[in-house]
Amino acid sequence: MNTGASSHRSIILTVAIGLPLMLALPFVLTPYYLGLVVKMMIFALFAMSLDLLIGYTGMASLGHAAYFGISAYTAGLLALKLGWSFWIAMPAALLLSGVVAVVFGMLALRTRGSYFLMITLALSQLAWGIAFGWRSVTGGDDGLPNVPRPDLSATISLADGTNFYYFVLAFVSIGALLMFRIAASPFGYVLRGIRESETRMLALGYNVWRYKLAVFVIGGLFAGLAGILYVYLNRFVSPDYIHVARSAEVLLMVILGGAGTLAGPAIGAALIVLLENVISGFTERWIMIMGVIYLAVALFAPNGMAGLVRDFRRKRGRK
Amino acid sequence: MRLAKVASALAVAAYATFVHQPAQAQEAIRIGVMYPLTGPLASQGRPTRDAIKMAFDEIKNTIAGRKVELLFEDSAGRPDTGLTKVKAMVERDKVHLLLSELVSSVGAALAPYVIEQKIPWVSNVALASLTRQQKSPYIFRFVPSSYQYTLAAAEAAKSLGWKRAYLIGWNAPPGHEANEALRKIFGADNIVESMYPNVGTADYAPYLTKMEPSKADGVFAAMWGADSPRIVKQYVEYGLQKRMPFMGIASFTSEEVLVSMPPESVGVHSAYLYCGTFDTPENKKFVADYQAQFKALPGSYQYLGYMAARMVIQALADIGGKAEDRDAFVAALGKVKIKGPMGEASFDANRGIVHDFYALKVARGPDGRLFNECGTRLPQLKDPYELFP
Repeated sequence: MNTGASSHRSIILTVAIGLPLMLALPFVLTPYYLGLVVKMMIFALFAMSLDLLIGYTGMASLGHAAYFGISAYTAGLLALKLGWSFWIAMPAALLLSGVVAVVFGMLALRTRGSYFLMITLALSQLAWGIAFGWRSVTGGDDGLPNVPRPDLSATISLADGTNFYYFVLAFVSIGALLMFRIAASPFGYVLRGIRESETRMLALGYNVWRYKLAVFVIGGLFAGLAGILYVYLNRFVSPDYIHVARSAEVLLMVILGGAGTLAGPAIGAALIVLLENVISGFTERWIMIMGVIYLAVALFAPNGMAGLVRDFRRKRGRK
Repeated sequence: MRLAKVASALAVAAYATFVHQPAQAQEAIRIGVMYPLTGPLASQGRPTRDAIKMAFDEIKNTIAGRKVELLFEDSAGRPDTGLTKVKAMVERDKVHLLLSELVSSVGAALAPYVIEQKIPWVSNVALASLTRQQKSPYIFRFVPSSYQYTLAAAEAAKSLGWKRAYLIGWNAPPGHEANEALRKIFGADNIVESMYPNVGTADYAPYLTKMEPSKADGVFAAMWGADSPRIVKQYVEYGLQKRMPFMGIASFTSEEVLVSMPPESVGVHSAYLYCGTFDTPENKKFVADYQAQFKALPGSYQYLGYMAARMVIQALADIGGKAEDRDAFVAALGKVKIKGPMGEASFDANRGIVHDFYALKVARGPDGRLFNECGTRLPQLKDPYELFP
């Protein structure tokens, strides 16, 4: 169990260095960069939730933004129209995205491979269509502006950038920790088994379908959590949150970072958010540069950045 | 030669202290210019940005002796991307004001942030809410709202003697808003039927076959971009154009769309605030300058971008270039009244555009090219707040 011990040590090391660093960031960064870090963290959570599906279970979904968007709309609507407090709106939004994930999962999981990809895409576009078309409730194309940021208590207001940063940091850390735990649990190993060979897992007596549905819903819930945080960051929701372009974007984050590692997609997400905002200030051809980066990763690091790091470590270990 | 060295060093030092200093103390006026430069709306965003640049080049990027620096960004037409970029321009780059955006979903997302930051924002977003529910002393809308341009089309139709009409509009917010406005202005009973094809519909047969020239005096169309040449072509093919006139709402026949319109478009009506062949020396110069720089004829998007920039320039000049004083700037901008290529432009009390509109009609020149004929003037048309509070 040498590898297990070393990965355990590296996690402790990461937390020991990373956590104080993250806690100290508000004292170092300007409000704008702090806001950008918040956006990076939210997308890291979102990408990790998709990695549970793609990297661990081998189910490439092109409709993951549905849960992100549905909980975002729910949280936004509950706060705007009913004035519900965050402590009720958040669980309600999570619940709804979970329920939708169950329904969509039961439909989509009848298929595999590219058919699964197509049906998840279609289902998420269904959600997008509702958000786009139901103008009286969702505001249609223009979305819902002016969603208030919640107050945690009478004294702690999240309108303050630093408070909001810690708020998001707490939720993202808890979410990430839970996902790492899930990936390392016996349940997580069953998922890996399903990825490698579904028929073998069936032969071993596992109810593969039930496992797949479970992870589909878990992924949906974490995506939902990211969606809620994103509403509070931007203070608006629009159909764009659910659009297939968003699903594709988060898929790219997972692939760029390295599927099946959790940490990889988190870094991939952070990097893409950062590049998108830094490069576009210099040139309007920024999308082309992003394209070149994706191409380079696909050609030279087929296992993403996490794979690159792993290969590098292995090579050094051999010497 | 030591003396020479010392002397030159002293001279440099003196220059740095006495001559260079004032320039350093007065830094440039920074203006955030964000439009969709990529994505489906780039074909509107890029020309708008170009026209803004042209307006600032005309004054050599200097206002009241102070340099102007334009910071360009790309919203990609996506609200969350746009918001993040605007935050960067406001909080990181410390721009003094924003001259940004034309996509309504991005505009709706920016409004709360702009209000919170109290940063002056001149927009080309046709959202009616920017001068209503979301209005703020810092938000200026230099483009007609959907109510305003539908009102213009309805007035132009009335002057053509229309009493009853069909509406065919996008199954999207602008299409439904046009319906709302037309029913109020024209009378709900006088709109025979409203039809909503999806954006990007290829075949309008199901809608066109329902239109009966005996029942109405004309057809209003609330769709734009690549859809407008397509519907005109099919409208002509069905033989409807000869029996029932066709009126596009807002920028339906704008010069940048006109180049892809079929030759049969001759006679199509519209009503908007820019007419490419408008016969004033200012407009001739504007068209010539734009064409010389960008090798294309300017249309309403370029015009609105150019004029929005000129409004900003005038307001900055009125306060002596002191862009830091945001309240003085917004007060000055609210009062600006300038004469541009199409006549006078100003803002109303809610900071929405006030401008002349013209009834337009597509015609064909001797060279076979289509152009807009400038017709009846609808003077100083305001956003109809009394009809749509």
